[in-house]
Amino acid sequence: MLKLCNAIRVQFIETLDSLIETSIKQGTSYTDVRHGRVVNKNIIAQNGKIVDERNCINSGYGIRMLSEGIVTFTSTPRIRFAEKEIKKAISVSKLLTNWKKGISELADAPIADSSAVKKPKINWVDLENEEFEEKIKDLDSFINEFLKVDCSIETDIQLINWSETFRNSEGTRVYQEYPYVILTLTGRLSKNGNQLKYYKSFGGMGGLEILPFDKMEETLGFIETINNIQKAKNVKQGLYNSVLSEDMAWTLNHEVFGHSLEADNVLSGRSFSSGLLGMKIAPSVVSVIDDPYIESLGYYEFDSEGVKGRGNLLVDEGILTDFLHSRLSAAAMGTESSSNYRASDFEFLPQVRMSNFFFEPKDYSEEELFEHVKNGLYIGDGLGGSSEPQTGEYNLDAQFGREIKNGELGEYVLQFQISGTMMDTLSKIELIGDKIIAQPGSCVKNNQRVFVGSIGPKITISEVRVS
Amino acid sequence: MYTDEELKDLSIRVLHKLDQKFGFKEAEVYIQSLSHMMGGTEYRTPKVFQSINREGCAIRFFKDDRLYFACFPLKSVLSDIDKINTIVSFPIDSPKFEFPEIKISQDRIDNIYDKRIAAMNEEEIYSLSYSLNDLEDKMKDIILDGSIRFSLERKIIANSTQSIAFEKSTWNDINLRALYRGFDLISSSEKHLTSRQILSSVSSIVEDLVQEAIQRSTMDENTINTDVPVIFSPMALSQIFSFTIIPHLKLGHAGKLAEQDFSSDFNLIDDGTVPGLPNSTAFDDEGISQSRTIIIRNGSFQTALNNCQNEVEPVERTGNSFRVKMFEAFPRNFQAYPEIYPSNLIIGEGGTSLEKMYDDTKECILINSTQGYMTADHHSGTFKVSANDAYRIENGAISGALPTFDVIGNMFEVLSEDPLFLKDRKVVRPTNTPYSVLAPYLSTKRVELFP
Repeated sequence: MLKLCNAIRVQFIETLDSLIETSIKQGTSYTDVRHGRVVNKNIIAQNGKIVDERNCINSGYGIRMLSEGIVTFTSTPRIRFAEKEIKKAISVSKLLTNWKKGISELADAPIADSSAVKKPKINWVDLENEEFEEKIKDLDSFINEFLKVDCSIETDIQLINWSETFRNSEGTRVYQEYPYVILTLTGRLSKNGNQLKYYKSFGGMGGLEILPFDKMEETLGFIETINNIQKAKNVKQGLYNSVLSEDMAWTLNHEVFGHSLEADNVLSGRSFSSGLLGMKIAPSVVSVIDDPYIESLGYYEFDSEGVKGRGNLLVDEGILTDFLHSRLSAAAMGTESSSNYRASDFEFLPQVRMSNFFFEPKDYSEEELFEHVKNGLYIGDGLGGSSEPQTGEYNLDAQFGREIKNGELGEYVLQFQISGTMMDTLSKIELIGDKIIAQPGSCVKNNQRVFVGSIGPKITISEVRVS
Repeated sequence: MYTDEELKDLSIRVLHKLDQKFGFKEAEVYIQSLSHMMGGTEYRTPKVFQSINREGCAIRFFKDDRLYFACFPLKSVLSDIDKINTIVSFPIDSPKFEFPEIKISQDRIDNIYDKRIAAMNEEEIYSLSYSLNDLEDKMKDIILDGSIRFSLERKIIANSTQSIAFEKSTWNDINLRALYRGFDLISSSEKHLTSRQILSSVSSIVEDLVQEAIQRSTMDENTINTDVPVIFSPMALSQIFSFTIIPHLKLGHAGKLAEQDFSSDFNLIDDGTVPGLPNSTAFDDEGISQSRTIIIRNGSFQTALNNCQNEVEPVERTGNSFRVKMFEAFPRNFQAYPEIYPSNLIIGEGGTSLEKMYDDTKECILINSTQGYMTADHHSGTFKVSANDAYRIENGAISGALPTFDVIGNMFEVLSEDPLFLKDRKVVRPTNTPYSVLAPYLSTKRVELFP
């Protein structure tokens, strides 16, 4: 059996190499092939009872080629079809070359020959149905034990096994295999006939052991918020000195600032950070890092063009020091790849994306942050929003807030919106907390969703515009 | 890719295997075969040429009267389903329903399949991409980014009633952005268009876009008069409408609409049969013929949209079951479970033209586009958005661009308290939604503005 598996594996690798060979023979200067397989199970429970399950298996090939400065990409589920698609893509690159010559090139990157495999301690595939049902029921019972309000609880569990084989014409060979698990609790309750909702996610890279089934106390913060939002009041519009929760600080940092540091956005004129490299853009307390090695949903050892992951210091004590790069954008800007070229799976052409993007924690304890603000607003978990990357204008919603009075947390405040311009907001960051927490995050760019780590400390910002 | 006949044959073989090997007598097989070709320019460089191909199969079946769902790559579905009993673990909590006998009222809806798109080759994509660049070269100080995507989708639904539905359709999506650097100001304007046929004149679309960008950058920014009426453009109205009203259109969720005292001028129809509207199709993703459904007539709620699974009692089927993955450029995806979505929403127009409205109003504000609409609260209907593309209208003409400001309101209230629907309408598809909306301009005094 083992021999058979090895023989199939060898044949598979030969097939990938033959695709690269086909492409190079037709005149491309560079080709890479990604073969991916994703197995996904999504289970939803209402008040401890499983009510829904969706299963999906997907696999196929993504092939990127570079010919006389033109990049082409094709994805296909079947190998037989791939060769035809390669020919099609190459013929376009020849046409395009007549139009614009030598536009794109790839920055040099070391050849890698490696595999990165993370195995879960408790693999969901091995769990019996009854055990699963029991875990969900137990978690629901725990939550209900502490709930003081009439509230329905939804438990949404995503279980994903992701693997990808990467090979390129320069000789890089990488195999990666990661398990991901995400558990999202959503509480729904009513107030004056309207529904209120609060959700929180747990998990990251790993198996069932990282979900709160065996550490149910991790859900106590969720329960406390649910217990209090029914009596929460509406926020008064205005400017507030604020403490931002870890999740909201990350949302602001990632959505508004982080995307402006992606070099493809910089090159295409979609970034307010363009032209600010080397300049002081924030107070010295602010340093910003992107690091794929933190074991969260943003974890990877190699990006989608086989470049070894590395941590990147992007803002150093308030000075913008770097952008996030692919080999393509790095070549265009005369630097090296920061290993941030990522795709959700084989079907999509990668783009420059963040991994785990966060404010570097500083020395301030939580008490010091609240004491510093004294009277103001605590801005709870983010709900989403939108931003204008060219200008840095943003609107972000918070799921809830709390008053800060005399440095202490006070009454709860219902969902509200913060808005502003990122350059102005960056200048108003005052303190950064000493603890970071990692939660599951996801990011959509140009209609492609990838997992990222929602990571960061609490921060204080003065005069946040709230409505 | 598989031929049409191979796809049909595969669907029958999967259905047969589910029955013969596992005894699943009530089952449904959905196959999607999708090919995209895309090209364009980005910041004066040719955008990469992409061809993306997808072939997948989703199955639903009842086992001991309990419903299960799984999907697989088409190439391996016949072997993958050998392990179906270990792949699915838990049933979907659903009332028992029957997969429908597929009766297509028409063989096909006109204008959803354009042979020119289906036969489009890479040289033609190149030539269209090039034409964008050519237009840009003729326009000083304009940077034109954009992509043109052609899609050919084939879908098949076969179920245990022994019926099979097959549809071929084509799509042409154009996304364009003009960036104008004039007078030390940068202004941009965007257009996103979807059609089932090749859009006739790319150059006229580009010219409109460029004019908008230039117009905006040459205007002085005005102060905002918060006491004047606001006119929402079709896009701005649809953005907010999508996240406040549309969640209530589904059967079982429409109670709130029935309670409302909407203006008698408010009419809303879902129609998947209109030739030329982007989401018209012969049948939905359960094989039900598309139809015209009157949702709101003269302010009164009439009918909610439904699908087979959500019918709690016998009702006329509206054909609104679609497999949609949000946040994808082409949101229809076999991996998504079939849920209720509109096809083409049509909001009734009024009798006054936009031009007359401008002429008759001393001063008002036109909001072309908003940000932040995705977090509107559909339970209460309240929304807080930022108007990021808005103009001051004075004495019949645009007198200036406005800086970004906040707009707060309640969509139920806006549609109840003297809304003035104008005669001029446009078809739009708000970002991240799978449906289109034919919407009029809407004038209202029921929102608050915060500079």
